[in-house]
Amino acid sequence: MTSFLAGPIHFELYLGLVILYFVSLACFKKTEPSFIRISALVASVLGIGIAAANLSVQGLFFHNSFQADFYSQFLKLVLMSGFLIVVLLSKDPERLGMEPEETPEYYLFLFASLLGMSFLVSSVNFLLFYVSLELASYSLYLLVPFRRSRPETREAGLKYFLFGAVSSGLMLFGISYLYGAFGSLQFADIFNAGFLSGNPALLFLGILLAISSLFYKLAVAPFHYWAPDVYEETPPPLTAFIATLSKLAGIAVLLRIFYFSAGQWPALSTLLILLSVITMTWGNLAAIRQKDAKRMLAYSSISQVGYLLLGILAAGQAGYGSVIYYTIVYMIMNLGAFLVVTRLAREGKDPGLEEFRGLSVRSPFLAFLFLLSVFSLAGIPPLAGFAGKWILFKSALDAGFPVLVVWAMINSTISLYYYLTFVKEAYLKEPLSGSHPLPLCLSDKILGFLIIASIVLLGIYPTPLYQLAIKAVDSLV
Amino acid sequence: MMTPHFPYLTFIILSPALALLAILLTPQSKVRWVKGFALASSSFSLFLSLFLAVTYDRHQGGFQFIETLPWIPSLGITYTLGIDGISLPMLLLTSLVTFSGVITMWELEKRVKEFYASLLFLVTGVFGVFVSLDLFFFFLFYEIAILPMYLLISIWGSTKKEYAAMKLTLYLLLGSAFILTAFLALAKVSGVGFSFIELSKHHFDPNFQQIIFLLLYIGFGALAAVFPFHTWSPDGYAAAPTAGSMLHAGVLKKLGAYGIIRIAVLLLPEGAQHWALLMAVLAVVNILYGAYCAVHQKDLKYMIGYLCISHMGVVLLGISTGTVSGINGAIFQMFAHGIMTALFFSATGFIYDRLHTRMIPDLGGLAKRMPLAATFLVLAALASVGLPGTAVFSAELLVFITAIKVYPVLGILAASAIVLTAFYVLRSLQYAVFGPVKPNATLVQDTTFFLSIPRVTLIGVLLLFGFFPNLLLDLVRSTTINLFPGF
Repeated sequence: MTSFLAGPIHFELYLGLVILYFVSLACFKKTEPSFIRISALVASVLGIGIAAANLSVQGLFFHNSFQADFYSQFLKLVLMSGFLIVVLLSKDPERLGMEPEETPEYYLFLFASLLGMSFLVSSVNFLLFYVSLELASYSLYLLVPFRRSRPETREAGLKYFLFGAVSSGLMLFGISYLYGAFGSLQFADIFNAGFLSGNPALLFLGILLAISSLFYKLAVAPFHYWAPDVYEETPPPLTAFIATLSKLAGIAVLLRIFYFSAGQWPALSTLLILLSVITMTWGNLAAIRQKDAKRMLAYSSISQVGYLLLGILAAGQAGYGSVIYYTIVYMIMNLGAFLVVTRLAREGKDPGLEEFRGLSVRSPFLAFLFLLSVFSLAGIPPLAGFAGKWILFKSALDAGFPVLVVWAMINSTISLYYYLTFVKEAYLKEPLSGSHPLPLCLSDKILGFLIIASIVLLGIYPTPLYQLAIKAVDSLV
Repeated sequence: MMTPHFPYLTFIILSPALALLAILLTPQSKVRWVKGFALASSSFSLFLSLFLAVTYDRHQGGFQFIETLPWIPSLGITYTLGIDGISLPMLLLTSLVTFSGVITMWELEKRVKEFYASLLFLVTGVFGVFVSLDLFFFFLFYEIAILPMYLLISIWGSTKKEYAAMKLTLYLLLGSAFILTAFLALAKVSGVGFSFIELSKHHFDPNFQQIIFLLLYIGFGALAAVFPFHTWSPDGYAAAPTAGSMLHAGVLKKLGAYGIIRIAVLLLPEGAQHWALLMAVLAVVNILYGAYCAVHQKDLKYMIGYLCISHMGVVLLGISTGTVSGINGAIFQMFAHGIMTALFFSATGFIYDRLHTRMIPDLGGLAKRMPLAATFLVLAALASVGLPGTAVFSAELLVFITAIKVYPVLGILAASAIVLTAFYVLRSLQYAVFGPVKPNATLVQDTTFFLSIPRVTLIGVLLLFGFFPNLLLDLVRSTTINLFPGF
């Protein structure tokens, strides 16, 4: 076993240090919120550097339950970059309805959740999978009811926690099942033993229970009911965190688990087909009637996961590569939309349809950013979401699911309807009387510009990122 | 791989795209700059496409000015551009209509920057579709062309604009869901990626061809306003601003028909044969239904919208014959109808801007109030009913002669419907234009010289190709004769 200081877990060690730092800040209570925010920014930027430096690190750790390969290291870099954006979004806590004196705790739990996710993308063992998923989730359970001023927030937090705890229980039950039947907790060993034993039903049941918690985290219908409430009630930057980073981590570990079944498992395929159809349809239909921006984005992200399941279903290098590509693109475009939502929030009230009214007059830049982000989510060319969907649907069609692809395409047409409802408010309506122009600070402008640039560039020329995604999937072996 | 010649086709796409970028960077207040950029880019495109039409080698035929560049090799996607006798007339049509559309909207005052930006975005997409020889890029540009119409209609439109915009967008995007699936299936089954040239060398299984052809026909048919997927079209055109209707009816609709010819018929000839009769029947329904609705409209724009459905039926009828002369006629009709509709919408739009009505009964005595505008309207109407000497006449004649040979009953039915429509349309316009002046009519300014430019250009083009149809037909024939050798 490698020593602690020279090994594949540099990045996690670093995150651990950052967490200790925030624990100490939280103990003092007297620190200026702006200082804490700057610390978080510096820590995130440093984190990106460390993740980038560790990109090519390989190795096993924690009794072979933790594996660093290009797949995990690349995704950690992506997670860290997304995290920086979330930290950038989190300025002005009062405006977002958070207590300024709780800033250290806010960042503490965010980083703790990130640490959980970074373990998650590296786990190749059900025990580490369980522990890291719980680390990532418990931090969020604590963060969700952070805006204590509203009773609905407490309700959402409690809902999230209770159902999450139940799904964790199911997961543990499934894992114990798998261990009892196959005598191992390693993903690879379980699948090998399961297929060899000629008892795939047992394997199927165990795996199903074990990953139900993951489906819960990903808000796959019918495990999605927490998402709209939680999205609606959390402060926008935190919603962005839940909607993007935690999905990325969940998808990443799901791919690791399914990698060993290699798509040649009819029962699993049937299940995924069902889940995918229910998820995308339900998400899209429910989104049509939403008036609250974050609720709309909640349902939209449910339907996006439905598309992603198509790629998982397709399996193989092409399928998983397309899933990784689309998840990253999904993260970027969603963060773009959340940047707009965050800046539209005022006095702790999150934007509904009304706040979007006349946005193109109040802030042409934000309106344009929102337009591009949601069009990209709907898969309109020449934006990143289009290239992502093309690659994703191609892999699904090549794997032999033409009907599903047609269904997914029809769904993405439906999705355009509710995105357009918001765009329409922004571009066609006059601003409400009494509303004033929305000035943007420089960092927001730069961030927005970077998001716009990457959405357009990744749509026109997806090749480099796609090759990275393929390379990541190839390193899974 | 470098291309040996100057990348003309990339510049055709870049010309509106760069102007779009320039407009986005122009401050809101500099309206003249915005219009200047739009005019410069559309003039440059017009010049480029004329240049290409003249230098295209008609003896050789086939794809010319080809450019290739590997794009996503692992997925079989290559940036390939090229034009032949089918796409060249479409390029000419697009640049002509864009040029006249830009000038037609010169008096626009509301959100000028956004308007021209959307317009140029749309044009970028249209040019892209006509020159793309890779299905990925074809689809990419296809969707680019569809979406800006939403903004064009919903911001600058009139009558029921939000409803019309949403309906149009969702209909067309739903159509493209089928197209995308068909494209992916073509690439998977052939195993040669998305290159059109490679795909056209592959022979697909007949059963596969039938299914995919149907998917493509529904998808592209939605844009070409094939009955029963046409309902978005009159609402959309009536609501759209003038240049929007001009471009959509004149050019965008042709994307649908172009897609049917280029992708569906050429890649899946056996699929086309299998569904030929159905296509012919639907085409005749289009012609009859469109004509029937058109003669009952009081609103000029709705009337043009339904006439447009009727005329698209002629294009589809030409395609369904599956013969060289039928396809030639269809392409010629696409071109002629594009120019004619643009002229019609342009003339109507001007009258609407001045009189704020386009109800035919309210227009009484137009010839006395705005003689020049009335002349344009009458010329457009005459061209639309296929007056001999206009390009529409030659095109329709070619299609009907072929159609009567292939499907005698359907052909005669369609041809007679056209004649009857002509009678009704002219009668109702006669009242509007030459009737007595309404007592409460006010004096309005007639068309100025500058604003006449687009209409005069379009009329000139219509007459030129009406009297010399072979100028265009030779070009088309140079390509189609090799593509449909069996007929």
